Amino acid sequence: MNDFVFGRFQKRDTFFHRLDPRLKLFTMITLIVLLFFNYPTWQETFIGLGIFGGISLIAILINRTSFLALLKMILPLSFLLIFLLLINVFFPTSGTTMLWFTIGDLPIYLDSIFQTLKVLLRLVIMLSFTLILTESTSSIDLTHAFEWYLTPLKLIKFPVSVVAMTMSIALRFIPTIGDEITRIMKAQTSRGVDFNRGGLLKRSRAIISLIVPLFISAFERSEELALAMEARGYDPYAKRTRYQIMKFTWRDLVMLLLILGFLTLFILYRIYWMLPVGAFFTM
Amino acid sequence: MGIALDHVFFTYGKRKQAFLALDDLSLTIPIGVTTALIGATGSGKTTLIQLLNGLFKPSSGTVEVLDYIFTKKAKYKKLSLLRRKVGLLFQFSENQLFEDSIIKDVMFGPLNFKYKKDVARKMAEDALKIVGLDESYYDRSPFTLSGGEKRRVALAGVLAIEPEIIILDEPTSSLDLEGQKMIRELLSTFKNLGKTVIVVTHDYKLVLASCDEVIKLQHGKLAFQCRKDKFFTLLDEQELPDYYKLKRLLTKKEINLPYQELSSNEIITVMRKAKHE
Repeated sequence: MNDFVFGRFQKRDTFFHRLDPRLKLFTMITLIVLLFFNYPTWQETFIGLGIFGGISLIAILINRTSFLALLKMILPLSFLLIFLLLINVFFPTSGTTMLWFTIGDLPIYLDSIFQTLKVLLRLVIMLSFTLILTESTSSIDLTHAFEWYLTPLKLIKFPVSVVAMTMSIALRFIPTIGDEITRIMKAQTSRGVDFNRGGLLKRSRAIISLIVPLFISAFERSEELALAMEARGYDPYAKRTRYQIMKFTWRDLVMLLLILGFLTLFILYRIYWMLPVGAFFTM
Repeated sequence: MGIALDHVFFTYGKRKQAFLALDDLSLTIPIGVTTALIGATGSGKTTLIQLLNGLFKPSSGTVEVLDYIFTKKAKYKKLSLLRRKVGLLFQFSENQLFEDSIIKDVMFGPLNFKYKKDVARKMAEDALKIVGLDESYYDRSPFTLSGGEKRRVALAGVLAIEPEIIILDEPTSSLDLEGQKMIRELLSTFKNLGKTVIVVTHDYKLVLASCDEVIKLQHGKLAFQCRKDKFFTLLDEQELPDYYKLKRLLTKKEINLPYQELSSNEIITVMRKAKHE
C-alpha cells in the first residue's frame, strides 16, 4: 500500500534521525503543549505562533521532510477549515470587538477570521511536528520510547512490556494488513464487485465483502502469531534485554538544552511579562 | 480473438522503489487448451494473470484478451463484462469467502453480474456440483470448512459465473493429496468441455498430468513456451516426479505410459501387456 507513505519512517541520516527517541518524544510533546497556550491579545498570539512556525520550519529543513508530504497531510483539513470559518463567522465568541464589515445585518468581525487562522496555524504546526517525529523515528524506536516513559507504572504492576509489545506488533502489521486489503479487493473485484461505483446499498455490500474476510484473516493471523511466539518461548513477563541500547550523545545534550532553555524562557515569559490567563488549553 | 501480449512491460511502484515485474514480454496463449504458467517466485506469473483480468493495465505494450485490448491509456467503462468472461481464482482464495452460507457465497459472483436470484442459485448449484460439494453443504457456514473444502467453495465461486477463460493461481498449494487429485480431475473436466484454462503452478505433477501447453517465465521475460511432451524432455531427471522418471525410463524401452498418472497395479498391467507383445 503505497498510499500509507506519508508519515511513515523514512530512512535518512539527519540530526533528528540520530536523536534518542525518548528525547524526541519529550520534545514533541512539550512543544505541542506550549503551542496550545492562549495569549491575551491577537498580537501576542500571532507572534507566538510565528515563533513556533519558525521552529517547525527549521526542523523541517533539518529533517529534509518534503513540503509536498506536509501539504498532502494538511489538504484534507481544508474541509474542516471552511466549516470552522463559517462557525466562527456566524457565532462569534463573546468579547469580539473588531468589526470588519457587515453583510446586510450580519456583522463580520476580524476576530472570527483571526480565530480561524489561529486554529489553522496550530494544526499545521502540530502536524509538522508529528510528521518530523514519525519520519525520523522507526516504530520500534517509538515503542521503546513509550515503554521507557511507562516504566514507573511497573510499580503498580501495570504490564508495561506487554503493552509495548502489543503496540509494536500493531504498528508492524499496518503494512501487512494494507497488502491484505489490496489482495482481498482484487479477489472481490474479479468476482464482479465494484468498489468505486454504485449506490449506498451496493457500496456497503462491497465493503462487507472486504471487511469480513479482512477481520477473519486478521484474527487467524494473530492467533498464528501468538502460537508461533509461544512456540519459540515467548514469555510476556520475562525480563527483556535489548538489541539496540539507547545511548545519550552530544546531539541529545544539545537538543535537551535547547528544549529546556525554550521551556524556561516560556515559563519566565508567562510569569513576568504576561498577566495570568484563565483559559489555558482552549482552541 | 484470443489472449496475446505484445511487448508488455509492467512496473510496480515509482522511481527509486520501482520493480520491473514484466520485461518486454510477448506471447500468445492458445484458446481451448490448458496452459501451465511456471517459473520461480517473483518471475511475474501473478502479475501476468492480473493483467488478463483487467486488474492492472500494462506500463507499456498491449495486452489482448478476447475482445478487450489494454494499453497504458485504454479506458474501459465496463470491465465487469471481461471479468465475467475471465474467471480468476486467487492464491489462498479461501480468504475471499465472507457470506454466512456456502450457497450465498457462490451466488455472490452471479448476483454481481446482474443475474436474477433463481438463475444465480441454479448457477451456484451447478458450480458446487462440479467441485463435488452436495446439497448438505449449501447452508453451512464457509468458515466451518477445512482448508481444502474452502478452496473448493472459492473455486465454485469462480465457476459459477461460467467464464470462458479460467485462470487458477497455484490451485494445489497447501492442499492435501485428496484436494490435489480433485484439482487434477477438475482440470480434465475443463479440458473435456473445451475451456481455456491457465494454471499458475510449481507442481510439475499437475503440469504433466493435466496441461497441454507450458509457458515458463524468468525475471519477467519468456524463458520458453512449448507443448507438454517437449517440456517433459526439457526437465532434468531430479526435477521429475517418480512416476515420470519411470515413464522416461520405459520410453527408452519403447513402453509408453500415459501422462495421466497410473496406479502401481495399472503400471504392472501395461508392462505385462508390453512384454506379451
